[in-house]
Amino acid sequence: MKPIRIYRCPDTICGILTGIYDAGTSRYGHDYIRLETTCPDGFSEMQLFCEYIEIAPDSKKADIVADSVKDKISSAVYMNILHLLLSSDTEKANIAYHFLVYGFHIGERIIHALQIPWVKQVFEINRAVENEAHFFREFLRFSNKDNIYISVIEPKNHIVSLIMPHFADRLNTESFIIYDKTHMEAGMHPASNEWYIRNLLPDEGRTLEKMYNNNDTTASLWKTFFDAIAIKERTNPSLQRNMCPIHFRKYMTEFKKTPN
Amino acid sequence: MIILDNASINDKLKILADSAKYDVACTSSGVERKAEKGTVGATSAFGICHSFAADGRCISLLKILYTNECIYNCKYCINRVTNDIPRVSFTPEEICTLTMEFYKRNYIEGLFLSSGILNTPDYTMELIIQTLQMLRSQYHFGGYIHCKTIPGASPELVELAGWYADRVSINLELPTADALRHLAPNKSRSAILKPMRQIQLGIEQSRQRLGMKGGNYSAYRYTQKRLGRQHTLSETSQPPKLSDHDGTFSPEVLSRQPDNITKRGFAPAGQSTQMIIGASGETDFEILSVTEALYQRFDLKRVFYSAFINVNNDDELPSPAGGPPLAREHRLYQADWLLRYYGFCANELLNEKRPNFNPFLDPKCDWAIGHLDKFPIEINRADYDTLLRVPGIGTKSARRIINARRMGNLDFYSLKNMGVVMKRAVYFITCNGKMFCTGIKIDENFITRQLINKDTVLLQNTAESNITYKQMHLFDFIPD
Ligand code: SF4
Repeated sequence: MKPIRIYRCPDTICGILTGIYDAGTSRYGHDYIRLETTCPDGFSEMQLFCEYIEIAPDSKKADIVADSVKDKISSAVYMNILHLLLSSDTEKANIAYHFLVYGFHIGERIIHALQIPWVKQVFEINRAVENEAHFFREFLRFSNKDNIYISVIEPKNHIVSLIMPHFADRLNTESFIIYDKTHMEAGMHPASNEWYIRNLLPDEGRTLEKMYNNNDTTASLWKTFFDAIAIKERTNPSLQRNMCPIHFRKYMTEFKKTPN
Repeated sequence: MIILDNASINDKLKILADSAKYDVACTSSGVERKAEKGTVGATSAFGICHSFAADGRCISLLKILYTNECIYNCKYCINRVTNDIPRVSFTPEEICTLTMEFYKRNYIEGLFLSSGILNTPDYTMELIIQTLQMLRSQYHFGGYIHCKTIPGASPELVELAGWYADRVSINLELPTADALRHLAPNKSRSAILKPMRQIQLGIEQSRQRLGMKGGNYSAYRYTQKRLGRQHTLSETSQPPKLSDHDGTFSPEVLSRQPDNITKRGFAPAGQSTQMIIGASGETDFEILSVTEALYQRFDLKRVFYSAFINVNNDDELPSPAGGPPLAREHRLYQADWLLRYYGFCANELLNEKRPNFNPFLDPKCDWAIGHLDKFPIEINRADYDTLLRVPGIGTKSARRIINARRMGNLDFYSLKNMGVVMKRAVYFITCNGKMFCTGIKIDENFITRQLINKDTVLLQNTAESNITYKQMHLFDFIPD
């Protein structure tokens, strides 16, 4: 029996797209191909009776994959792939590969074919990533330190690049930073300028977290409002929890206990 | 009246948010607008909730009154003139600063400004306009503004409100003119419907000038159009004229407006209203019929319901032992959703003989059980509007079914992937001619029993617009 061949890709968009390129051009047979992402610390479990191929990220190959998805399938599918690759799902590289195998075959109508398990998984992960991004558009809070607006978040997926355009538009006059503590990266927006994403060093992260301060006058006015606007006779903590899950509340001004 | 002159901004906020909280609408939806360079704030078509208060209701806007002083004496209202409560007023600057600071921290999408009536309706309306003008022109705020117009304010001021605000609303307060006369003696039905008509005409003209940017159509209207029901369209395209204000913008008002105000459109996010549920004796059927008429004749975006709370412990008003009628309010919201998105008519859901909703079944299940002759529906053949009538199938899942069907036949397993709520749908559908399993009987009693057992959570969930919207994108896979 032919051994399963496993392509091990670094967990970056370029790394996974390179893996898709190498796997797709290998003629090894889709049913025998699996893609995995490697952990950042380089250690992951290996299995016997499999062939392993380590992927070296190559932006030329990645570009070829990206362009052919856009040209031969559709830009909507390309966006789906991007969202998928931003997710924290450990199977994402494999799902992306097998989804694209169908995609190149069926064309742009692939996104409607929820009957196909790979398509369904892409659809679900996309929704999870988009939902998480949307939660942070809602629940993220800025504090103001010397007219720099700072926010700390702990998302599961890499959603900073998905939410930066939203804030860069509405707060185009302000300087702001969205610090993703999970992935140690930050979206930076200098006032009236283009935004960008930067990887952070641990002490930069600590500095940003210290600068994030929920306890000034505006924050306490907000808490006053938050308490006053609830209707006592309708108190409903479980509905509140459904709508605003506890784990989002960690950095939310209105849920912070005041020191006194 | 106890007027506090030296209240701190914190005290004012506390009092004026507290007295604004009974206004239901907190949506920031209906208009998509990017920020202009150098201005602060954008709007998002679907609206954005920023927090959820202890009552589970969405907080999207800084919802406050300008003042809680009031010369009127509406029996249901905490601010009525006869109440002995501390009274405060904001200044326009205070409201602007709060809005800007809150907005930049992503606490809110914008401002919802209402007010008690200080001195006269026009005097109050002018203060509101002054605030909005300051916010738009001096503070360059481009986020969402919802403005309540004051009953009895002159048409010129109502018109100005429409140019500054994204959404304008005036509360119907009570479903019938009778109840209004009884409970809000200073207000009249015509003082409410006149500005409502004026705003409707303004939005219509704004559309003619600016296209869709001038104001999007309501979901209700889109649904009616899809179903080819022209009668409501022709009614709104030639709305009855009112004698003293025919809806054309007054040249004086227009000429005073800088272009950057008028190019945003006139109330581009449309108009909404709300009414109190359970303070006067109306049936659900009456309330739903009024709702339908408002959508048809006034082209409203939303009609909101507010379960009555007897804040004044007024003997003339009911104080139900079980607290405010939240379950009833919830059923009405579900039915409202069926009118706006699913093409149901009020008299399909209820009628004079059966004027109230079933507390144990949601209105769509209830309707389906009463019309078993229309079921089961074949998933692989039914058209969009037929699919929409199946309990457990919503607008999104119906769309997905139609699209996925083109790629091959669907079975029950793939239906789950479309987001169909199977525990409700299975009694009403077939896939490739087969029912889900052999035990299913198309029988009223059987299905009712099945649905009620699994439908208990519904009763606990009280909802308003944003909540319903949220529920739509939470996938409900079959747990059992
Ligand atoms: S007009 Fe009536 S409802 Fe409005 S604040 Fe005054 S008393 Fe309350």
